Amino acid sequence: MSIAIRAERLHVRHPGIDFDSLRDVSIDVIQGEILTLLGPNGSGKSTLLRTIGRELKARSGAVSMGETDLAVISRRDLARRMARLPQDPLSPEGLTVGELVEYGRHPHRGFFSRAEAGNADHVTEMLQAVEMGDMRHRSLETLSGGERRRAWIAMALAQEPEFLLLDEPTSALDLRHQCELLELLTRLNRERGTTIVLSLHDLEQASQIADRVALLCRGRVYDVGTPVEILTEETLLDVFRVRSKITSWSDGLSIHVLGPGDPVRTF
Amino acid sequence: MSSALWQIRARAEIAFAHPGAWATSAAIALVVAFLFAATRGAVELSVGEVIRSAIDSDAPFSAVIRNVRFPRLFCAVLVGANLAVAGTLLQTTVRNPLADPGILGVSAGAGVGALIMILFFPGHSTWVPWAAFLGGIVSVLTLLGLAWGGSKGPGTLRIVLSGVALQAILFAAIALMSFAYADRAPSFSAFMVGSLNGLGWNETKILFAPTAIGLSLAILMIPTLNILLLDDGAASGLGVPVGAARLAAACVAALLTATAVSVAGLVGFVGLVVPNGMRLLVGPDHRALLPVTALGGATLVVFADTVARTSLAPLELPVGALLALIGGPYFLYLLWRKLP
Repeated sequence: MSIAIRAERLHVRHPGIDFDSLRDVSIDVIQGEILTLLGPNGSGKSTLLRTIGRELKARSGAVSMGETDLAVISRRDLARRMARLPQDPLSPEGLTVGELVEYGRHPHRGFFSRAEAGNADHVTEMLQAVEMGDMRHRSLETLSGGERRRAWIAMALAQEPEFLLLDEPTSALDLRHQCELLELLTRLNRERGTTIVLSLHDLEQASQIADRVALLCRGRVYDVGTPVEILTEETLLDVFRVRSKITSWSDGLSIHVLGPGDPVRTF
Repeated sequence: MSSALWQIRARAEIAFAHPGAWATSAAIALVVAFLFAATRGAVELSVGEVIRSAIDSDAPFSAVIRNVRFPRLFCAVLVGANLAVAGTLLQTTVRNPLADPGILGVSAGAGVGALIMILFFPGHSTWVPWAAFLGGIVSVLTLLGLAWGGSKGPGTLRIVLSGVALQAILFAAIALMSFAYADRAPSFSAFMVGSLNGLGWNETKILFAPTAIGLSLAILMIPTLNILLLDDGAASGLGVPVGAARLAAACVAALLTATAVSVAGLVGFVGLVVPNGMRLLVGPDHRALLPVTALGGATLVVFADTVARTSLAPLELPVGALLALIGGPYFLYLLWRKLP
């Protein structure tokens, strides 16, 4: 069990806002795990993901990858090791699925050589991994929401990353597409050993997919651990301010929300 | 409407499965347009006679072909290719199909630079494109500053309106210089509308070096341009320094525009019509789009200039007026489609 990414005492502030969106956040991502970030709106899930992905700079604190400070890794090296999927990426009009996936090879291409990058087999393989082998020539705007999300994941996979960061990948998808997507992520994690950090809103889904969950609340880490350890009736009352009844099953939790409630302790 | 066109594209993709097929077709179209254009004029020739005159200096109309029609046609080719590629680069840079060197005021900026060189440093004609380049750079940077100045990203309306305002100021500068130095300045109306009248080998030579540099840089930038098509977050995640890449693409666009403007004046709408049209055929990927756009722009200007100089012969119309006649309505259509 080795630590792949370590965030230490992060304070992050968005431009134009006079308070910290993350306050003294420390968290370790373990090599090969699926870590799910949970928390109410505005708790800092996206901010933490974007800071780990070096999209945002921390005011203080540091993120390191293995032994290296993230800040000193070159843009291109980072892109080779880490792929991140924005919440709802804009899809250029008329771009085909195959072209998008090929762009994922960009960090691996040399300045003058294209052979290494434009490997057609590689694109085919990635499309098959997301079960879109037959959609290569379709343009993105003709796809359903779920298909488009999968196409973007295929692009991220083409980067051959060790780490995959996804910000609410299931939002705006119907149930079936949500299931398929989470299954795909689990498969990638098992078969390729990709370390995955993602944020989710659905606690039950998180309990099914995650090795560990990190519960965030108002810019701080409330607690980190296995889903069963973390997602309890007390923590839900504290963090989400709801009363609930939680039942544990072999493959996850089922959470019955009873109604709004008052936290026992303020955090 | 647009989804129907994508259908056409999907079908065309099957017919044109080979990656070079579109570029080859566009190249053939350009050669055909070029030869056809060379046959038209005060003396009507056959294609055979044109080719013979080009090869054999003793052919009866060799002087007309070699010294009048060919150089003007080469100018048309270079001007068209430059403006079309500049349009493509700007559209990718500001991620907006309405971008065009004319509409955004880049041409006008280049025009100011060119005029300053022509008026105050006469006799250095090979430097005119580079002076125009400076003017173009200044205006493109001003535009990017205006468009990105606010907290939010640049909206369609914001970019277009910034361009309009910038252009108004630059047009005023051009008008003032043209009238104050009417004896030395090129014809104000021809310069403002854009015209290829009377261009010869001298102008072709002026165009050549900056065009070669600009187009080569554009080709080198193709992989980066493709990544710029994506979301900013996604692009930086793929290791592209988004801001710097945008700036570089805008500067190359300014160089290409400036080169065209310095001999032909403010020819408009080529950079709007051609890339948008070609994108419907080959899609937004620059590996396919850029060559086809360059060839298509050249073909359009060759064709339009031939119509301009022959339709009311012996009167020569400015080619820019004809292009605006096509481009203006197309711009309105795009605006209507893109604005909420």
